[in-house]
Amino acid sequence: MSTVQALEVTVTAPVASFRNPLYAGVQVGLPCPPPATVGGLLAAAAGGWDAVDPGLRFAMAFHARGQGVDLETYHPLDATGKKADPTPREREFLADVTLTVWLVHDPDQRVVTDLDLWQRRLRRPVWPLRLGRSQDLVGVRTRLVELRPGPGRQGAAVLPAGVTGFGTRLRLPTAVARDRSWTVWEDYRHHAAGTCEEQVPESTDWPEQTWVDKEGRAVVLLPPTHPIHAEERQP
Amino acid sequence: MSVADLDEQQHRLVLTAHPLQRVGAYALAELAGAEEPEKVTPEGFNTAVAKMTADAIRAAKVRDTKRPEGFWLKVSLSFFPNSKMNHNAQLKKSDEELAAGIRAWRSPPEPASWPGVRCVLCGREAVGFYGKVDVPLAESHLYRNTTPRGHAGLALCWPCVCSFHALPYGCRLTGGPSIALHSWDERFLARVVSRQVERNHQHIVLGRAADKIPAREVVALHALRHYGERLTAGVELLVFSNNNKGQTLEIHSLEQPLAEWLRKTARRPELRQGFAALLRAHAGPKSPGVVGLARNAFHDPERIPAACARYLADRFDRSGLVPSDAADLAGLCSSFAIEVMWMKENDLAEIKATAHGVALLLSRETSAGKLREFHSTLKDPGRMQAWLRTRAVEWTLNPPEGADRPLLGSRAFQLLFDTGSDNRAWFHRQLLFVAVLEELHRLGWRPADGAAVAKEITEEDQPLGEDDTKYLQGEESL
Ligand SMILES: [Zn+2]
Repeated sequence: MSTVQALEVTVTAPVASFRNPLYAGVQVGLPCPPPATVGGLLAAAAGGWDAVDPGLRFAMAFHARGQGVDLETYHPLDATGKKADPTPREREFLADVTLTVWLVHDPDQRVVTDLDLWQRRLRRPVWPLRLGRSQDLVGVRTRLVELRPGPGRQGAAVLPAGVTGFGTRLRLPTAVARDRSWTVWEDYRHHAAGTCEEQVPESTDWPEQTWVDKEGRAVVLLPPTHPIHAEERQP
Repeated sequence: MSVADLDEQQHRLVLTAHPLQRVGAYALAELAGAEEPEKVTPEGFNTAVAKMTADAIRAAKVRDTKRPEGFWLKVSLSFFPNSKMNHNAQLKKSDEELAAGIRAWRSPPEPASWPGVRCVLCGREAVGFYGKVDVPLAESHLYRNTTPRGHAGLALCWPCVCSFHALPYGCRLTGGPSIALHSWDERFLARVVSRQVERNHQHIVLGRAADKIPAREVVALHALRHYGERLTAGVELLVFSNNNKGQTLEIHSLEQPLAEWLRKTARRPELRQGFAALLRAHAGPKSPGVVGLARNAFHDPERIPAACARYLADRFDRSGLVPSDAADLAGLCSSFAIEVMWMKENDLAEIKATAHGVALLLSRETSAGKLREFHSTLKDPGRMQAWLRTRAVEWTLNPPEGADRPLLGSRAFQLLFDTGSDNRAWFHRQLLFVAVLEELHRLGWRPADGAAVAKEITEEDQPLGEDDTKYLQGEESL
């Protein structure tokens, strides 16, 4: 069967933290980065959203080897202008994390991505790349890989909720308007332990084409994360 | 959009991505007498909001959270601190002034004052910016870290604000942090919230204090086990407080397979028999089994089979006899392995085959000592490996009758001792021990140095604790 080209991006960090944006007063963590965050990471590499094709889509997998809670100093900005005392706040974090992102080029499926351009961008990112903690930079490796259509092992993939019944169902921000007035939320599934042996069935109807990499991992594109999709879809 | 349409929109509930808004929307629907939020009519919406306002006024007039009828007022401090319902400044006001303040707080702002932006949760026209006074766990109005100057926080439409006002009706109220159960399984959420709204009637309308609960996790377990249909999503337990003394939120999740397993063990006859034993296995000297089970389920599900193994070993240690509920617990542990841990049937069969062999060897012993020795190796995989290797040699040199396979096949060895990241060796060793006891029970093994028959009877009759008995009785109608 014909293979397609993909750029596999492996992002690692000793500590990462993805805050649940619904609760401003407390710091609650999400078990994996929302697609909007990963889209933002790619946009940072490119130099901003203006440099990113609005149709850009990617597939992803995420695994953390540990989790914990620590205290971070919170510096309240007082509304009245008085000087406020810094206070410790609990903050959830994930440890030893690996994020895998696949950018796929498959013109037959109307997925057109300039893989060379993205490889160059990720080798020399315009803005520093981070995963939810401004003090920690991340490690990034890229390699061109081959995928073929077909079912693959779910493992630690973050998948659109419709393509699998396994893993925790999560509703995550997918695209955020540039003025932050509107967020597109979508349903996903993620198995945090990453050991889910289930096969993600091959779907013939685009946009949920399933590819499989040489290691047998399922690669399924997520909805686009460019802010324009939040701006256009605002009710 | 016409003024009439806009007005209609501000009386229609919408479900958003915010779990607490969703719980509130279901609660408001129940108050409006509708099956689900989307079916609430504008009239129903108004009636429900009027009910909530009347409840708030009644509670505020008590003025003293320590009075017996002050429960709802006390609870409201952890939902709407600094509101017109319970701020200190309200205490000095007359009943009329107090009621007027609450009515104003619970009325939609005039369209002229709307900020001209969208509701961040549902995208409809926002009626204002809302902070901690109306929305639990939003940033405090005192801080500007997440809110721009000049407004209090989240842009919200009126129905979304009212959903947050209705949230307490859908929560288990304790007087301290509140407990909300959430799920993306809409039918389950609707059922759980509607039951809770019914129950809260006496706390909110009549001001009566809520009963103490044994543990927050039990609230979730109870709801699961009373639910009659298959769960299509996991369940989240949100324990939160919006109190001025410190906002807190803990989220404990139960994945769908475990939630469904816990639900089914209440219903499938072959599993239900073992459930009483499962409660005994989780009971501590001071806490009922239902608390231990619910806590393990939410915090560390793999401890469920481990608790079974420890319980069986303890009982064996005390009586010198293989406990009679070993088979029931083994059945539960197997279904747990397959349905919750997604263990492959073949792998489970490998472990059971090894257990069968170990039991066969132990059953030749007339003393209980060897089983105790085997149990003690659970703490030390190296020792268990050595123990099994020695027996495997014995097995090969002197195979028991009908033995057509090695004691420890390579797959079983891998499952029990491989420390690779995706192998749950620890969990498999617990399964092995439970399966060994199941086999010994089946073989009717009675070590000669076991205790006297009198003691055996007291052990066998060991009753379920009072709380657990009550819990099971409460489930008999299922
Ligand atoms: Zn809204």
